[in-house]
Amino acid sequence: MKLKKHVGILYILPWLIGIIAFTAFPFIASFVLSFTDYNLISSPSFVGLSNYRTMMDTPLFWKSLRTTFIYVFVTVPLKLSFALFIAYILNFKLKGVNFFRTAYYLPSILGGSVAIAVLWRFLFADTGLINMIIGNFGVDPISWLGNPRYAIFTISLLRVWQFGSPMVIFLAALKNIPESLYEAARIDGASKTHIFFKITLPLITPIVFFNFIMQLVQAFQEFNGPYIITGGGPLNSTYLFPLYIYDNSFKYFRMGYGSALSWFLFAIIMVFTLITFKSEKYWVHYDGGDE
Amino acid sequence: MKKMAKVVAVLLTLVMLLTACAGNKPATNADGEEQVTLRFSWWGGDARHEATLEAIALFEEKYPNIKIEAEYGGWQGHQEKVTTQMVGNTAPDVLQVNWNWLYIFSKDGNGFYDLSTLADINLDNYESAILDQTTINGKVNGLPVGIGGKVFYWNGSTYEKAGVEIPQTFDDLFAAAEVFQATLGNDYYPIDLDQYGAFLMLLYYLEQQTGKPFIVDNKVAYTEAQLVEALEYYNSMVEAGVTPSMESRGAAGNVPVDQTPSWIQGRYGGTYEWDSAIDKFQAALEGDQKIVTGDFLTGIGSHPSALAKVSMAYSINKNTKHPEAAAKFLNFLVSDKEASEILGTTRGIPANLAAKDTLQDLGLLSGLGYEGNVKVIDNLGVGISPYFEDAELQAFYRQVIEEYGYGQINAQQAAEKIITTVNRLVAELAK
Repeated sequence: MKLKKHVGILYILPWLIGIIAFTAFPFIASFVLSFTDYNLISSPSFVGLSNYRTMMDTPLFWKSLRTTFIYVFVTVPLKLSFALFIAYILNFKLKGVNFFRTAYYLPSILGGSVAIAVLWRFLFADTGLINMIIGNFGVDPISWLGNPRYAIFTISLLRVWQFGSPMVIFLAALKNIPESLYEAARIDGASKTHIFFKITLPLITPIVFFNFIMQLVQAFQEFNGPYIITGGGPLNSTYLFPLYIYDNSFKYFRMGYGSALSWFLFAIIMVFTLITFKSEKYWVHYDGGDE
Repeated sequence: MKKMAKVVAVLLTLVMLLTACAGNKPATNADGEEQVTLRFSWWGGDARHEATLEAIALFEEKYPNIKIEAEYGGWQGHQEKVTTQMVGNTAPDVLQVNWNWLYIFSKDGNGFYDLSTLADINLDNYESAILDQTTINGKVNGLPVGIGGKVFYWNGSTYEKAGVEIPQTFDDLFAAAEVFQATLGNDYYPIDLDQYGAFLMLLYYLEQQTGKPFIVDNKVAYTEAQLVEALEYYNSMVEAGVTPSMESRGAAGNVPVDQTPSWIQGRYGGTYEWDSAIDKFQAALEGDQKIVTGDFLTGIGSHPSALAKVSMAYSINKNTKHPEAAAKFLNFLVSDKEASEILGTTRGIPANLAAKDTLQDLGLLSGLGYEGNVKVIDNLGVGISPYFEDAELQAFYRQVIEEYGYGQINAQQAAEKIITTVNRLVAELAK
C-alpha cells in the first residue's frame, strides 16, 4: 500500500518540479523582488514601496497603461464579435462548410508566432501589400505603422484576425442550442434578427462570458505583435504594458521595477476579471435557471 | 506479480533519470587528451556567420580534441540573451561582447576571466592604448576585436542616377536633395538617418563645431543653446528633404535599415553607419548598385569629429570549465594566419597586429569596411563615454528624436530633456 503512494508521487514528480521551479518560485520571487532594487548583477537591496511610487511619477508608465487599455478594449470586442459572426455563418448547413471552418481556423494555428508578426509588418509597411491593393483603387498610401493614430489598430488587427479559437468555442455552443426553440420561434413568425437576439445570443451568454475573460487576459499580455512590428513606436503609440515590463527588466536590468510592473498588471487583470464575474448575474443566462 | 511490476517500473524510472544526468562525463580521445566542448556565441550578419563557422571548422580540424558549439544570430535581442545567460550561469565559454557590456557585467573587473593569466593568449599583439579600453582594474576582461567608427557611406549608383557628385560638405547634401527631388522623385533622399543615426548626427555636428565630446565627467558637455541649434539643423535637413522624416521612416515598421525596401532599392542615397556593418548594407542592395566610402562631411566647424570606439571584444566566461582550451581557441581566432585570412574584415579591421599583418600581406585590407576605418582613424574625434551606449540611454536618444521629429516637443524642450535625462541616467550608471 505504501509503495503505491510513492509510485504516484514519482509519476507526478516531473510536473511538480515544473510547477514549483517555473511557476510558483518565479511568482513568489517576483513579488519579493518588486520591493527591491535589483540589477541582476549586484544583490537586491530592499527599497520598500519605492518601485510602486516610481510608477506613479513616470509619464511613460501612464502612457503605456493608456495604450494597453485602448488596445484591449478595441481588440477584445472586435475579435469576439467577429468570431461570433463567422461561427454563426459556419453553423448554417452550407456546402463545403468543413473547408471553411478549417480555413477560418488556420490563422489561429499560426498563432502569435514571430513569423506572422514579420509578415504583418511587411503587409502594412508603406510599400506593403495593403497599400498596393488600396493603391489600385486610387487611394493614397496610408502610413499604417508610421502614424501613431493607426499603428495601434494595425497591431490590434493582427489579434482580431486570429479569431479561430473563440470561433470554434462559439460554434460548439451554437450547435448545442435545441432546434425545437428555433422551430417554435419560426412558427410564431419571428424574424432572423429577432431569433438571433432573443434565442441564440441569450443561450450562448455563458460561452461569451468564458471567451471574454480568456481574450481579456490574453490581450493584456500581448507582446509579440508590437515588439516585432513596431517595436512599441511610433511615439510609443504601441508601447503596450508587457513591452514596458520587458524593457525595464531585460534591457535596463531594473528587475525590481520590472517585477513591480508585472504585479501591477496582474492586479489590473484581476480587477477586470472580478468585475466581469460580478456582472455575470446581469447578463449571463444558464439553462435551467430560476427564470 | 503486480507488485513486482510496480517495482520494476520505479527502478526503470530511476535508471532513466540517472542516465539522463550522466550525459556530460568528459570523454578522452586516442591520444589520451581530454575531449572538450566549448560554446562560442556572437552576433552579426550572414557574411560574419559564414566566415566564423569556417574558421571554427578549421580550428576543430587542427585541435581534434576541442569541439566548438556555435551560437549566433542577429544583433536584435542579443544583449538580452547574453544577460540572461550571464545571470543564469549558462553563458558560453567564449563570447563576443560589445564594448560597454564590459562595464555592465564587470564593473570591478571580475565579471570575466582575466585574460592576462592565460599563457595561450598573446597580449603583445595589441597596442597598449587599445588594450587599456578593455582592461578594468588591471584585469584584461576582453581582447579588442577592432576599432570601429560611424562612417558616411553613399549609394554611388543612386548619386550617379541623379547626376550628383558624392557630397563633401553639409551644403553639398542640401544641394543634392534638390536634385534628387527634381530628377528621381520625392521618395529619394541623399542620406537616411534613423532615430539613433539622427541623434549621432547632432553629436557629429556639435563635436565638429566645439571640439568637445557629448559627455564629460559623466555630464552633458553641451549647453542647451548648442543642442537647440543642432536640433534645428537636423530639422532643416528633414524639411529640405535631405533625410526622411521620422514619420515616413516609421511607416516601414520596426525594421533594420538594411532591410527596408527604401535602402534595398536605392531610394536612400546614403547612410551613417558603423564601418564593420557596411558589408551587409552592400549585400542587401538590389541589382548591381554599389556603395562608396565617403569623406567625413565638413562645413560646420574645424574640429575632426569621427565617432570611434573599440567596436567589440572577445571575452572568456569567468566560470568556464576549460580556460586553457578557451584560450587556445581565442588566440587561434584572433591571430592564426589561416583563421585571419578566413575571417578577413567580417568584424571590422582587426586590432590584433598579427592578424592585421596577415591581411596586409595578403592584400585583403581593402573594401568598404577598411576604407571607412582608415577615414575614421584619420578623423578621430574626442572619444565617447563607456556609458554612452547603455540600453536605456539609447532608448532615450531614440525617443527624444522621435518626439521632436513628430513635432510633439520643440527644440528647446528636446534640449532640456536631453540634458536632464542623460545627466540623471549617466549618474545612475556610474554609481
